[in-house]
Amino acid sequence: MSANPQYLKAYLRQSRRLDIITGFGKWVRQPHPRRPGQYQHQEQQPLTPSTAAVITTTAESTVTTFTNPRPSQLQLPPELWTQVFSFSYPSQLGLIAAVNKTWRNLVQGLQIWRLISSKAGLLVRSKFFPADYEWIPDHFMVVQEKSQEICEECFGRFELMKVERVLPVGMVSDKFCTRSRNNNNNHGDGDSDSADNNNSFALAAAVVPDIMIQMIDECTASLTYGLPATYIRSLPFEDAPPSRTSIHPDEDGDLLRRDGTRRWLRMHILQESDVLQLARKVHGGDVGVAYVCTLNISYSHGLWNRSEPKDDAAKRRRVYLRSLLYDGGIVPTLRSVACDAFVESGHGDPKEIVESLDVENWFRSCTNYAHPYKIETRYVKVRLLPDRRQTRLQDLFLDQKVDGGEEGEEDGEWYELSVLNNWLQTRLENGLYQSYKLDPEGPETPPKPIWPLIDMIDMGDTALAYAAECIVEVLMDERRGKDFGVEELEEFGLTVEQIREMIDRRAGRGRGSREVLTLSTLLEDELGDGWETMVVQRVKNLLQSYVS
Amino acid sequence: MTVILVSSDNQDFKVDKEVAERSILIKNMLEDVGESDSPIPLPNVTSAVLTKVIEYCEHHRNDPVQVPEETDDPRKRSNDIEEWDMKFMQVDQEMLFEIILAANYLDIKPLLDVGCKTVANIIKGKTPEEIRKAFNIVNDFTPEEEAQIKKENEWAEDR
Repeated sequence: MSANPQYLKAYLRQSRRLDIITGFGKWVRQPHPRRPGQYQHQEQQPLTPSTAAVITTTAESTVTTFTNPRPSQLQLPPELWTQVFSFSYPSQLGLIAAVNKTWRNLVQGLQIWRLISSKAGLLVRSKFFPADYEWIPDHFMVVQEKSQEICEECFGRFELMKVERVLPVGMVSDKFCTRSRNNNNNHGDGDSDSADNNNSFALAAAVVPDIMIQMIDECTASLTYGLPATYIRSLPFEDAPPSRTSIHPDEDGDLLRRDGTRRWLRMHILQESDVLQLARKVHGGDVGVAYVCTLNISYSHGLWNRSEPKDDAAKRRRVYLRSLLYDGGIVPTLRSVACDAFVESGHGDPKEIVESLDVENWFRSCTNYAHPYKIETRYVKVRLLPDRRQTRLQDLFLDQKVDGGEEGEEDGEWYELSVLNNWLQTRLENGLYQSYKLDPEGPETPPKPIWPLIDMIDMGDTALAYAAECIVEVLMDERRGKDFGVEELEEFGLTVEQIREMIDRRAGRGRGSREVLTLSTLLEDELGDGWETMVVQRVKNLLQSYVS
Repeated sequence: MTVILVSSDNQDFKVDKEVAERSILIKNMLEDVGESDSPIPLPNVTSAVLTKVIEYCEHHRNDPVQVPEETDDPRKRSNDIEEWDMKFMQVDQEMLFEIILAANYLDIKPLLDVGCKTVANIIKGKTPEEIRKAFNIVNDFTPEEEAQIKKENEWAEDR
């Protein structure tokens, strides 16, 4: 035997990972009595140089004495569990952390967990933070809010905005919190940073009821994070340091002393348990939006002009999506955010995406109404916090609004409804009185998903308005543009036959229908008994508006 | 050139050096010790496990050496296991853990990764209670902590 046993021994020893390699004796793994989830050696025989020197013998004796009774439960040591968790999805980590204390600790020590924490500015316990400096507070907070999102699939991070903040952590009272929160709101003077801060604050407050805020001066911040003060000074938070009175009117002067060199940073403090909740939130929805946002910002071309997908899964998804689109006879629009998101990351339901594209195409082809993102993004599975989602989507889509209209309120449906109303009117003007849903002729048959929306439009009212216009036009023609007098209007009246004759002359017969449909029959169908008085009333109103 | 590996139950395994060197532990050992035909004792690996490990190394003997991953970019997925590896890992939990332990000990990073991914897949989609059952783990949370966790779970459910 030429190999130096010492050498081998050294190797086996320094193999750093597991202590199972240090014992050559009986190797019985069983749960550790005090540290659940860990194993221990039954025989804790210390390795002395003498045993090492006779490694061959030891190995042989191992053979004879080695028994692996295969306990029902062989356990992995913590280091290996950590490795296992590092392959888990972020959303699963919250559940893993709920298994037992050991696992909870392991999860909280993961790098990805820190990333999650940093994502929304939550706390990281100091024991999981590298302590290269002298003073260590209980908790750390690495805030990269709004700067990155984590993709569940690939663990990739997506930069949304390059806003990084690193803020120190301290504890203060609830009272303090409420006050500074209010002050903070009064503080916003339209400057974007403080608006941003307010937003993020609102977000945090929505997540956690008992949020607290504290001011810490930049010196402490730089100490806490081991960051140069210049960097801290460059942080956006600093731009609007709250004035002393705004912090706390009767605060101890010592704590909040501000001389020329000290500036106060505002920050959030969340409870430790909130970190767990956060992990759950880092889920598909978040990522979906992240994707949409990223794609909107960085790609100017559509899905089909994009480079080949990198991995096989993405390729498969693209093939699948393409086939669905093909089956539906849909030509993807230039930019298809939802398609991109699905191909890239698998977010969203392909069938829903195809349906939404169908709707979008319909809007585009039939109404000359460009509606680029709104519909699509709705179909990307979005499971964000409401206010965050709103902020983000608003950021992106605010300038896409065509009409100033009802800003904010139900703008989603309002948008489509006005389009559909226009569409219905065009149909009436063209004599298409047949069922607006099942037109056998027009290529403009609306896709099924928007039928409920069409039902929301008062078809009778639309037809009524159109009929009144027709009658007024006929009347004006007959009178050669001479206006009605006020007295004339008072006594104005038309018989059913007159109405029928007038509107059907003007509007013509219905086209593209199996039985001949006229506007008057449509009105009768839609409005039922008393339709004629309604028409007369409408005509009167219209004439009145002309007179006045 | 071949190397002889000796399992804990004293069984000899004659493998190509190339195959054995999939294990960084053995590779470094061989490099340092130099040309030597002495058997290498692997006292923590049973013959059953070693058979599996060698099977893996044989199959992956021509794989390029893994570049150490950047720790900053945890681009890891639990669902990108190769088909062969997936089949290879279809063993009972005991064996799975044994393989992970052996891979860790022998420093075979790809095998360790595959093993960990497999375990991660087992965990995937399970509730904490199911995880405890699957791995025979005792719930050591206090009732208060338990309540807190329950609250969190409720929170997750009504999402």
